[in-house]
Amino acid sequence: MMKNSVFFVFIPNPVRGVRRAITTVAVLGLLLGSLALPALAQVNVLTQHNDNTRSGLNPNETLLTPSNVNATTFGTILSRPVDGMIAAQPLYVSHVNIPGQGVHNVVYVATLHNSVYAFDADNAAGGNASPLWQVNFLNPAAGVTTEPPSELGCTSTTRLSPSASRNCVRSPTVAVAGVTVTGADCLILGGTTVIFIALWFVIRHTSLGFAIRAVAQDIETAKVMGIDVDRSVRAVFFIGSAIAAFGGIMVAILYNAVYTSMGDMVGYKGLALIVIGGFGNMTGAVIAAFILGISETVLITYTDIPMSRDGIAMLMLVVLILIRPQGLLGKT
Amino acid sequence: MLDAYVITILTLMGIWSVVALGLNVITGLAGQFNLGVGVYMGTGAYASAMLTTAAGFTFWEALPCAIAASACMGFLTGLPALRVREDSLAVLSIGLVFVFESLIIYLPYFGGPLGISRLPRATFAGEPATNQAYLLIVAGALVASIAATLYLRRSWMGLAWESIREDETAAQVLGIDPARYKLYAFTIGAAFAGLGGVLYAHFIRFVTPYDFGFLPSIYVLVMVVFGGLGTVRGAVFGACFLTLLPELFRFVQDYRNLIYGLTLVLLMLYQPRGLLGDGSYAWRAMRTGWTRLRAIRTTGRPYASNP
Amino acid sequence: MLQIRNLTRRFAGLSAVSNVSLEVRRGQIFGVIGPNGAGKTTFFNLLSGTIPCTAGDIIFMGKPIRKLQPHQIARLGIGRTFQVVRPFSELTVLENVLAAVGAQHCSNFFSALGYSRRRPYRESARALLRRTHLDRHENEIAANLPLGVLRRLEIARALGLRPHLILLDESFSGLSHREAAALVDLVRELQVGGMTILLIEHNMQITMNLCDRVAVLDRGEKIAEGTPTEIRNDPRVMAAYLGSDA
Repeated sequence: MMKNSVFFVFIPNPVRGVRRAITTVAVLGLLLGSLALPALAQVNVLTQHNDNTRSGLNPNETLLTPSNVNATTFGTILSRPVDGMIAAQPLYVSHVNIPGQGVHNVVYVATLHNSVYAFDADNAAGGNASPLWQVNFLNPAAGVTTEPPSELGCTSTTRLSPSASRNCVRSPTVAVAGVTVTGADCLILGGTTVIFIALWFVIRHTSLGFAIRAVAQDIETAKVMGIDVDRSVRAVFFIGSAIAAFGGIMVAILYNAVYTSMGDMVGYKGLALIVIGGFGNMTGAVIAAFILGISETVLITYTDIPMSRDGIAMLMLVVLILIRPQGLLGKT
Repeated sequence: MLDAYVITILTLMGIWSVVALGLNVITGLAGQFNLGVGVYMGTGAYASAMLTTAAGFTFWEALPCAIAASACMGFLTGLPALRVREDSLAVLSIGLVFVFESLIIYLPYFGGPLGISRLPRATFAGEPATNQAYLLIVAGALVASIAATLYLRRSWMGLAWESIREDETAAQVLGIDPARYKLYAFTIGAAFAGLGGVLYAHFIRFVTPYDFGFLPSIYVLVMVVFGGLGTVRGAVFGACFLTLLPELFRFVQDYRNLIYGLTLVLLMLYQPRGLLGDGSYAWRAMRTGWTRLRAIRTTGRPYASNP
Repeated sequence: MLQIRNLTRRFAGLSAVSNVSLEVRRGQIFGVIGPNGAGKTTFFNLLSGTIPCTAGDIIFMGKPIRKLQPHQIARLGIGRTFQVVRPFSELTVLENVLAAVGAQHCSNFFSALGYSRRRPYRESARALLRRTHLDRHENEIAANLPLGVLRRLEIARALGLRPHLILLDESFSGLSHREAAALVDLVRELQVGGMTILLIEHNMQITMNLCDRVAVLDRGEKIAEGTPTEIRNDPRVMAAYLGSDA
């Protein structure tokens, strides 16, 4: 069956390292827990239904009680006109400093007409009569429209991140063959090349690389040959995580945002790419990654396939696996 | 009668148990690692949703059609699975579930990202079923699914599946055609999952593509593995326990995925057979207890005496 | 019973089996020997259909079987064991044999839904276990059993198919003296019962005692064929085993 190939969580010395494992877990838990400490006194509504479990629960509610939520003391404070229907949940952030307009408690609303509004949450008098800001994304020339027939613009609720910094740094750009290449692009391409060469060198030409390859083939024999299996496994995790981290940093720079789920799709695609490249074959994985990246972008830009970008990527993966089940550079 | 909250929890436990049983057939019995059971659940749910809203079918009329649709989907996804190696099967199923989710969102027939809503209630004794009556329907479906799966395990089909799971090459030289039995597994497992999907659709009465994507598929796999892959008791226990867990531990809401992941890691390290799997501590303790109990009743002593 | 003509298998330029031709008569015990890496197991894999042939023909009981799937070949009546045992680890010994017995009877969807542990199947399986002296282990999980028992299990399982020809791949290796002797008796019994047996073996004593004819493979080619006595004295065989300066 699967026989440990996918489910094998290879932590060195699982039996002896019980205490180590529990300590690591506890530390991780503490770190994650501290990151999530509510920093503001007022409760913000940053995503749909308050949290990622979509529960709708507000555990820090202090104002509303069963006695004061009734027809006489609870009701609409104000209403504001917008340009289309609202399918996404309105979000609320307190104490937002809006340049030139001071500090407000803000309600963010996205409409099906592809507009986003920011309203003051407390009153509509004086300077707050009009939205604090509003922006509309419709741009038919660039292909940004709403979906006919029922005008589907912004349908899903986003997640607001009060702590992510927004950098408006202009990176240097270069025009190459009619396409603008930014400094970030160069860094990514250059960095990736360097990493790949270094990795190839380590795997092929160092004793550590040899140990890693031996352990991958047959753990028992490697141990008997005097190879330190634990060290190899630790090295693999270390190197792999470091490379992935580099990738994550590059994505963050490229898209100017960090959020907890940014690695999900990349992870799934990565897993698929390993298989498509031919298990264990680094060159194959790189080739597969390039094929995927290029075809995904080409297909989503120039064709009308009724799927999202990620959907097309996954479709490509399925097709590639089926065409060559042993992987692009795998052996039959 | 029972509190409405309790009824909801029980109904969900039943629904996820049915889906878990379906995945157990494909992955547990036949050893075909499948990370995309959402495809089959979604096919059943959407088929029933479309038939009952657009085509005017009743719940009971739509049920067999939806199950047949899921079974077909199982067959269709089983065909590519024949071509790939064991290790690639996981990735193939991931790809398929994402493709499925994406198509459902973007093709015009399925209601897009907003899904299909206002599904009619099932009819029970002539009237639209109350939640309590629906719980009885779900319980009935669960009992039927358990009985069917137990029977399959004892049938030749089950033995062929287990042979293929253990060693496909050895099974082949015994005259067992792996392709045929794998397709049977996919079809039958998908049918169960589709049944779960229909029950889900008419309980929530609102289906969206995101209900049947990658993450829900993983949750079902976790349920099956947690309980004990390949066993009926494991699938049902895992589904019930992991549906109940978020309710019992509401205070860890934001860390639900952390807890899930952690549980899975710890489980794989210390009880890789699942909590109620064949080799697990809990199951062996239960069996020893049962043997001792029987011994006490027959011989008056808890341990057999050795000559 | 079995005619093999110019059987060849190439892996990316390397010939694992090259132009091997043999004929095995009904009721013979035919040995295939040769130094390690000679291609013996590959040869068996070609016969049982586990890997495809690059060239050549295999005619079994008058039917060409070269292009068939392994399970089809098994149903035609060729059973085999494996050099490295491949039992169904999570199943009991009885279930391992039942799998073979049932495979014979259940060929379509509806018969497959029939109950597998039906009395007639169980009785056939138990009879096979008795024949291979495995009846003590009937309800033990295969994963817990020692090698000697597993080798017998593989044979019992292959017999469950009621084959006309059985391929034994190093079934004697790893067995104690007593177990090997018991197995020799079993093989002789099978021959008396009309079965044809092809076996790969490293133990010269057993091969010479048991086999009616022997073929020698070296580096994928057949270098000699004859009775055990002829083979024992053949200089080419000695050269292959001991090196050419022997």
